[in-house]
Amino acid sequence: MSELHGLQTRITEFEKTGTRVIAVSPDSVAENKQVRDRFDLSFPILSDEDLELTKSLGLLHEGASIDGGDVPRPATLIIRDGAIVWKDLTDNWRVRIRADELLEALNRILRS
Amino acid sequence: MSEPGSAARSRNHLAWIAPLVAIPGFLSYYTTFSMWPVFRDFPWLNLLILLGATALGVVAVRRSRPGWGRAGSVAGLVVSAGLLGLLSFYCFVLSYDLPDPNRVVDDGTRLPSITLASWDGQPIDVAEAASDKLILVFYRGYW
Repeated sequence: MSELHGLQTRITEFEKTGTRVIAVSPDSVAENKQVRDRFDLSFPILSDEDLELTKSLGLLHEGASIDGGDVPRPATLIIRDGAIVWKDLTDNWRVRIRADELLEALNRILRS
Repeated sequence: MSEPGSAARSRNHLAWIAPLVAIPGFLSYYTTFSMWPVFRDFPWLNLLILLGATALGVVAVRRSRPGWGRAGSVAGLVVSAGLLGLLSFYCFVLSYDLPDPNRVVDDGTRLPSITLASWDGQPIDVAEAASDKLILVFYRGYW
């Protein structure tokens, strides 16, 4: 979740490039509302409770939730014209991409 | 009578300090410091606090007299060293447990048309949102 807080601090820089930011969680709408309020987020958090989107992209991490359920692996995707053009899949789920690294990757892609 | 009594009390305090430092030193990683990448990615601050608590625990055991005082100091040391071990295990072993990255779809894959609700209840079609430029961040949820 800490990456959401980081993204929010740089959100105007992402928006300046015309890029939308959307988060996806396995939580309910009400739980996502709590996270939104806690970090005062301006971007959407989609509730993928059935993990349909997560599974369709191969991002499922089976049995990794604290209660033994399935959750998405932490992942950040850059999408252009409907297709994935770049992704960050961390090798350690504590360590997620930092907003400045993501901004750098985005600007590199938009220049190319 | 007051002299040995006060010395015993001060030794006793040292036995308490180690776990009293170690417990918040462990919990604060989860509640606070994991929010900032500089403390999160390598948990140096929490590890330092727990190392300090463990060192205090060692000093307390060495200064303690045989009997209940020593038992308490040993318990404090075990708690401190145990939490140091637990945080290290979490950060350097457990959190590397991820599925094979080859299972993730390749670049070039188009986003499916799936509609999900955001925190305000607003439905968003992912394929539609992806039609121009989009950053999609998956995270593991609130826990």
